[in-house]
Amino acid sequence: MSNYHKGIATLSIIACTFFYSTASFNDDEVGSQAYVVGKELYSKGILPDGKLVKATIQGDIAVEGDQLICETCHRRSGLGSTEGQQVVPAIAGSVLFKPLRIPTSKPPEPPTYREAYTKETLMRAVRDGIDANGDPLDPFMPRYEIDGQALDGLMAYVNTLSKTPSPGVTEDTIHFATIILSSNNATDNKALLDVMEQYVQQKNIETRYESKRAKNAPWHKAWLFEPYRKWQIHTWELKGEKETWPAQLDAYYTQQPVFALINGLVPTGWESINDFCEGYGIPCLFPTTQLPVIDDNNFYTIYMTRGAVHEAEAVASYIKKNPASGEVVQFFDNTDQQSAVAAKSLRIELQKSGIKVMDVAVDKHLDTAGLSSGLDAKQTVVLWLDKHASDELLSSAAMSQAAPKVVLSTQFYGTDSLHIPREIEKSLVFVHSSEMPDHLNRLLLRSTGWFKSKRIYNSATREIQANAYFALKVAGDATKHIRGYFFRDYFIEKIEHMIDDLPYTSIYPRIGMAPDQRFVSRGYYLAKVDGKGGIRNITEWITP
Amino acid sequence: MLKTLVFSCVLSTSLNGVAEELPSIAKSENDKPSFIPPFKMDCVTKPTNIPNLGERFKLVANMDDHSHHDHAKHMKMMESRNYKLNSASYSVPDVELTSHRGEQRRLADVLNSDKPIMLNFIFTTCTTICPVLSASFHQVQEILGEESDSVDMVSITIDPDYDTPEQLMKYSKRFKAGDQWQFFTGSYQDVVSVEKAFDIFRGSKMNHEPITLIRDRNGEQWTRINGLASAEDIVKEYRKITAGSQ
Repeated sequence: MSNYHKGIATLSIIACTFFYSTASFNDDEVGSQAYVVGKELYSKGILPDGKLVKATIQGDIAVEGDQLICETCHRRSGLGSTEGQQVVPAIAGSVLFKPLRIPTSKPPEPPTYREAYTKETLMRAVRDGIDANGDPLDPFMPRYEIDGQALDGLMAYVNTLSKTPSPGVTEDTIHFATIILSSNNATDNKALLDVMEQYVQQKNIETRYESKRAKNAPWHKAWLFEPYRKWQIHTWELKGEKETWPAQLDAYYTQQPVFALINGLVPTGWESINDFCEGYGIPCLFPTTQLPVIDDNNFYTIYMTRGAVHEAEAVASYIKKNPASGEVVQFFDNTDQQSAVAAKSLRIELQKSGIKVMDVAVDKHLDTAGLSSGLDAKQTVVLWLDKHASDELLSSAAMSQAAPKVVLSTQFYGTDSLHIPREIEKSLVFVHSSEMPDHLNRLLLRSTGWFKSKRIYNSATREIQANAYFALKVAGDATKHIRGYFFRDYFIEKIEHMIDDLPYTSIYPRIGMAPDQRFVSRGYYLAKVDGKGGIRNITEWITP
Repeated sequence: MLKTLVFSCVLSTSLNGVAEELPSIAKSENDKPSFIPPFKMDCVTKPTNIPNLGERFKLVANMDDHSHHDHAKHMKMMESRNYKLNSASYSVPDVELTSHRGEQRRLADVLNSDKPIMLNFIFTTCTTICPVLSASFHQVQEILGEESDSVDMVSITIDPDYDTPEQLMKYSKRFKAGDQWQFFTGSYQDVVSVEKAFDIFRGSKMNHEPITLIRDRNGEQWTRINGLASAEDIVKEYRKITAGSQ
């Protein structure tokens, strides 16, 4: 090679090495090696060599990888959290690798300017607990024993956190969607959509000036006004078989991406929508469904209850506390998904305590005489059937004669007790997983008043409307709280913290949530026939 | 006129490199607050050629030089207590709770065994405070070693709706709890009454505080540690409390 070419070659080698050596800092492509290492460490506490990372707190409290994972405190979004008086700061790359102005908590001291973290100062922070300015970190932050490779990974990973705002938000509008099925009752769908429509209308009217201010905010109020967005809630109607729904959802989403899904009426079939929510990472808030997908790995979908599975758990809990001297017999309809799921769950729950269940699968042609012939007073009978089938069974002669203990779920049977035969009233108990019917109106007073003022109230669908309202209120509050940081993970994290003290109600007397919990209502009442055609509770709100 | 003279005298003294001495202008007691905020003299001042008081103020205020800092702050951190200590007596409500092993026990019986007690309040989906509190209990367990049989450790959940005995059992395994460490849940009303009795209740569980309570066997007073105490600190307080009855 001529000298000239040698020169070019050397120069280019030097250039490559130069760029390569800074590559570890800029190597924030999702999926790169460093990213994968960082993600394992951040979300599972696992070092590159596969072992759990070790750390200490306050000098001597030894902590192992899975006890204090980065993600638990700094959260998936990397934007931190608070708990009581403890504040966990944001560590997303956009915050960490730039200088930060921290307001003072002790005037007249000036605000602190925290320098941007570099590789060295970040290592010092994670390993020794010294921040970029040389001050000690909060004592709650563990000091982790990591090496350079782990740190590179961590830096690559946090650089990707909360980097680009989530889809569904434009300069002036935030887009949401709600799902209804064409197979739903038309009145039910209308009840839900009425609530959504009125809510959006009122919200946009009330913030019309804020939208203007957002465009021309004075510098010192930019932080307050700029996050304002007009709301738009799209109706995604899913038609036909649930197997076709994923394609329909994709089509809707491609046409207009949305930031989150609010409520929706999907009595069964949510499992066909679940992959959409988890796959795209779209928050799906409080759909009205009886068959949620119960999976610890799910992050983006938040439900009100565990539906049919919850009913089974409640019944199981009752049976365990009131064991029958005879066996447990459950009647269910194999062709009805809810019924089958409830029966399966009850079987599993009772099996954990060594209680056997006799399954009686019932089909459309109910042979009540045959089915109830084998019953006796020592048994506990559970019915996962609709009202009609249950009434037929309950009023059969054999049933009245045997008078076993009977457990019904109001989710299947309803709350109308007029047809329960006298003879079995005494030994019949209901499991009811929302507020008692005669207290529900009072619990929903506020939202009902609003519906009535908007002339959309429909008492027959009060629960559907209440659920829609609740989901909207939570979405609205959470949107306010994220204050312009339109990151879906952050949105969910805010909701996790909000639910425990909401100023508005749902159809459940008590709800609660915490990080990683995804079902906000866990309770039920035990109730009996009240002699006036309804039911009255014999316990307070209890949890299985 | 006099003031200006004094000022310039002071200035000239500092220029001679007697930098350890605070200018009297900042030191005088019968001061109205001057434009100079109180100097922080920990190891920042050293002989330099600072032309004027303004520059010197900037130096102190910005504290650019970190090398002294690391040491001073480090020492301070290791010596300072990050927790508040006080003592109180609490009346225990008459409730039954369920342990992580599924046993029903009266709380009064649990707390009145003939052993000293360490008590804290956690919930299993807590992200920040509880893992640290539970890790500290585990570390105390390690430090006491064989002696941990002689103390009862109790953790009560403040999220009874979610924390079933199974959940608590999982949590106890995560923190490698020994036999002397029990976790309890119960009905919502009962748990809230216990929280209120121990002044733990703060409304939403998200508002809870890092509190560890220690009491000698059959003692009246509980020592209440509010904040982050190292395992050594907890053991130290524990020894103080049980010293009398050994």
